Amino acid sequence: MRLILQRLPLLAILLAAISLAVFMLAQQLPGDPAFIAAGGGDATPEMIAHARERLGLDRPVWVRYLYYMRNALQGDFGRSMVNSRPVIEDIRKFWPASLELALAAIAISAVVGIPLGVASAVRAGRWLDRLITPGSVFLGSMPIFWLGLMAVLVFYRLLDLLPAGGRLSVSIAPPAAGTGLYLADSLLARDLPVFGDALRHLVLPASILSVISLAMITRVTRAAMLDILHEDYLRTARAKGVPESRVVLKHALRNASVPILTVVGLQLGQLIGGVVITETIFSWPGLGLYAVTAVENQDYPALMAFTLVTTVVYVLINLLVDLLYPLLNPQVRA
Amino acid sequence: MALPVVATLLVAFALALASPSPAQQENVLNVGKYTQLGSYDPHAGALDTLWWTGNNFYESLLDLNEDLSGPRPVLATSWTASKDGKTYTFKLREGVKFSDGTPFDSAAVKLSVERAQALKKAAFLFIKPIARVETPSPSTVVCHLEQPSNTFLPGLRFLLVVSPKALKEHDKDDQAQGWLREHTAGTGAYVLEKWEPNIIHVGKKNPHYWRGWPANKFTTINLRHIYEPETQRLMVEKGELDWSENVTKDALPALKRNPNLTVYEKLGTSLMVTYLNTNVAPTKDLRVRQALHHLWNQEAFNAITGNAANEGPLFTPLLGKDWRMENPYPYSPDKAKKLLAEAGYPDGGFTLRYQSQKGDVDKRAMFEVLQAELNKLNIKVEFFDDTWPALVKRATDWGRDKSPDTAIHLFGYFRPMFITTPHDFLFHMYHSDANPMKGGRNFTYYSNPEYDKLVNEAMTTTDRDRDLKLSRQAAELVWRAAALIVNGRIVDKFVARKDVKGFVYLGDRVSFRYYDMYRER
Amino acid sequence: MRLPRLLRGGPSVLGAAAILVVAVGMTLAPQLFTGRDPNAIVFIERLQPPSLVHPLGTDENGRDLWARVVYGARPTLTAAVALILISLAVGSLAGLVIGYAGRRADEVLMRVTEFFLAFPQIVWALAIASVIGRGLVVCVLALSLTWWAQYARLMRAQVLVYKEREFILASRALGQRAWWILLRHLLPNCFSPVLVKATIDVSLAILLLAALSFLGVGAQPPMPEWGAMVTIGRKYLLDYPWYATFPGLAIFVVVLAFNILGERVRDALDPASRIYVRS
Repeated sequence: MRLILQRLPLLAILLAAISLAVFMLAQQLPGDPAFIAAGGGDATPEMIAHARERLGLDRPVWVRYLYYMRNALQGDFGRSMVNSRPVIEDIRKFWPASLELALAAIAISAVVGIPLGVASAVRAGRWLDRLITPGSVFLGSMPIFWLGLMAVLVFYRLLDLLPAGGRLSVSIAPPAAGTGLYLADSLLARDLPVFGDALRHLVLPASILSVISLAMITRVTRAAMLDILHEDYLRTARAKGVPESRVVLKHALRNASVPILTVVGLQLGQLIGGVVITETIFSWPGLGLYAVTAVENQDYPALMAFTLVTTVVYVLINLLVDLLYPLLNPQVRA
Repeated sequence: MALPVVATLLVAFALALASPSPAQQENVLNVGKYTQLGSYDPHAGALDTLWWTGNNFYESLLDLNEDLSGPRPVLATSWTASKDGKTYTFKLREGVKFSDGTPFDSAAVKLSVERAQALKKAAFLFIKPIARVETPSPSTVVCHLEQPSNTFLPGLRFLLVVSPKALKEHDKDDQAQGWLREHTAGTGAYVLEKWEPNIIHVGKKNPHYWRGWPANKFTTINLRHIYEPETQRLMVEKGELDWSENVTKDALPALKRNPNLTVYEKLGTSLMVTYLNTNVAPTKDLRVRQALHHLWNQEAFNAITGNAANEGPLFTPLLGKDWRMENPYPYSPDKAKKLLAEAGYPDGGFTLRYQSQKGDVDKRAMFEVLQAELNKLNIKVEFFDDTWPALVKRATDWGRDKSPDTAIHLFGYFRPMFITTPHDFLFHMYHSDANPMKGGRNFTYYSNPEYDKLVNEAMTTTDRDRDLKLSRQAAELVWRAAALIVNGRIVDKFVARKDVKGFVYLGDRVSFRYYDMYRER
Repeated sequence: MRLPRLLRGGPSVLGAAAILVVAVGMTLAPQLFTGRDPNAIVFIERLQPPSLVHPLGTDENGRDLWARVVYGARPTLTAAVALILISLAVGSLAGLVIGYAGRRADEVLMRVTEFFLAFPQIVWALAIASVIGRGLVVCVLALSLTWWAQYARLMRAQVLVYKEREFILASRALGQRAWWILLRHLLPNCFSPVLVKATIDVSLAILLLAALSFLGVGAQPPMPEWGAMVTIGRKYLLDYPWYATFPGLAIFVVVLAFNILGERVRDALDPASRIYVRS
């Protein structure tokens, strides 16, 4: 708890610095900022004047930054130039989809990667390890945009096993509003057909996205386990007659959990970049697709808001991992 | 401990693979869309809003006749024009209701005209000539124009009528723009039930639609945004979608072989042109422009893109169904070389700047075909691609300082036919008053007083034959001036499931009338 | 003849080395690998499947894909290497100097690097390239903004370890100048983890830059960068799948080679290195 309070002022400064960076980047934008913030083509003169006031455009730069901060903290990021809706509404609409995708990907990479890493550590040097370790190098070398396209070809076109576009089939209505995560919402509503359909649509993009982290988690787990498996206290346990599986799972894994969980947490942050790519390939309507269409349409308010929001999320995830580390491992002092 | 987790995951996986794809419903049409719509408000939206909503959600007094011979009655059953061409009287259809149940009458028309005039967006462009509207009876509307205009009647198709009740109820000091952006209240066949940007638009049948609802019509239209183009096509092949709006020529052979699909290739009304800047060297010189025209390899372009040629600086059938124009500058690199030598560039040696819209395969092909020829003559081309607003800005800004260093010499452009009169092309593309700095589209900066005179008279004369004669003269004049290269006419390509019938092509790839379509049993 | 220690390790390592030699060869002297012009537009031959004449087929303008893959090695690889070199140079220098300098400066460095490390890479490269202008150069510069900080931290950690070692203290006692100590003693000792990281980072750099080109903000057409080719090829994925497949395969193969060799470098230089400590 003390740790969190210690970090808070630094965190605030960091977030302010990040917002300053986004603000400075936005200053480089071509064109009239008020026009852009008011939504571009459809903006009326009143909307533009209102935006000019809201941004404080006739004031010196540092005042404009304060205005920007005030607006950002209130959730006012201007209007999208594509559809003139407030950007914050679009972000609110799209972020659950990205969250669901990221969580599913991290779950897959952890659930598959950790056991694989344990197995290859336990059987180090033997055929299983010889399969898994190079396998993870293999996977970690794949460009996921290419892998995604190949997956569409194989799983959707050739095998017709899994769909490749959107979160739901067109004739299925989304589950009643709840978390925005279709899997959770449909389970809560006990709506199994919707759950099945949502799951079918989630499998392919989440699997492709998980590839990046899967390789890393497997290797880190293996390395951490290898370190620990030869420790003295385990030798004692074995000598006492504790079955090997208990040695591995109960003692070794628990002690290896610190670096493993650390890397899982870090990978969640790294996934942000992968989400952008995966969403475009699978037409997944999340923040990533939103950002890419914003880039294509030069929808700057949307793009700047996306940048700020994702950076803040990234910082918070990394902070969480940092805070968790000493909690899990009492030997470490920050 | 890990085992139950893994087991659950495997079960979930199996469940996912095992659940069947949902069956298709008969009265539901699933369409794959790629482009975004900005707003559903017919008076505040951009042009694509008009095309789109005007065919499915809203209606006007009249509409496009499919053979492009003239307007056909929709909400007006007949009309007359006064002798001086300044007054039009419309008889309105009886018994029509808006989707909210309120009756359609002349007051509604007047209100919509005034709203479009107040908001001054795309819809306003076509009703500018209207000075005032009178409503002598609920089923009669009289429009008084400031001066006679031959573009008024065809242009009226873009004046879409909105329910006055909706306008009043949802007015939050913004003339109901906020509500109408995402809701519809028109007399058209469908009502917008749901719009989730980037995901889906859902239109449901308007129960009060005056044409009624025979059994086999589509009562629900789902427009799905599928970002990845090949995935959209796969979805049509597998039946998840019934219709895909944008198909490239390269996909056609495989699609045509598919027994479940119908491929439509329709010669459209949109022109592909490359504007030449007539106000900056070297394209200022007529000979250079003629040379550039001689370098346009139409055959190669058609082979690549599946589009067709167009002889004339506009959509030529507008000048008469059998009116033909000849290309005075056919493909001939030799002639081009000679003309360039005459103009003082025997070995090329200069650089041109070309801009066109990002992401469009056909526009890219236009550039590449021309560039290949230009490079052979030692003429370099710098390519800029960008979004449409940025292109317009660049071309317009140049008009202010006219600096040769920033001039765009070639501007790749698609010009659709908006209304069924030649004046639409003749004015907006070549008239002096259509200067970009005045908001026009004359990016060639062509300015010829003789031409202007011809077009002005054609647009205001009440004598139809004289109008046609003058229009033809103007077309010939600008055609010889080589102010632009006509790269051809777009052949629109669509693919649909075989059982979806009733598609009527309206000349462009944006207007689809889903009410006309049905699924065959 | 015994292979240098680096290359011992079986067929995979030799294969990786061979691939890298080929890749470097394509970067430096593409003419050796293909006689064709990667920019030669021949419309009649567009979108042809792989054949004897065109081993990888042709693209939408009739350009030979094998030639484009060969010539594409240069932008793909040089951009990645440049990115790592810039980050390494700036970062190591900063970490070296400031790590040695003292408590105060060290605190500042930690905060500054924390700031630069806070930015998710693809997101920021996307934003910067959209605002300032697209292209490989912008992407390289944008990515190096976050990457240098990783090297700075790594170098700083190493410097802290060595700073209090006896031979350094002895140098100081002897009155050696700071920069002499830095360059002559500290740098060589601290450099091996940096080198290890750099080798592994090159493959990551290739993937990131290719991803940015895929998204449209990196290499611009007609540059035959491999990621840019995949994104054009995706429009022709169903009927002409070779277009998107081969450049992607090229990326995969080269990245794999770098990863394999990177592991060998790591094992050779620093067998005790841990890969999961965040720098």
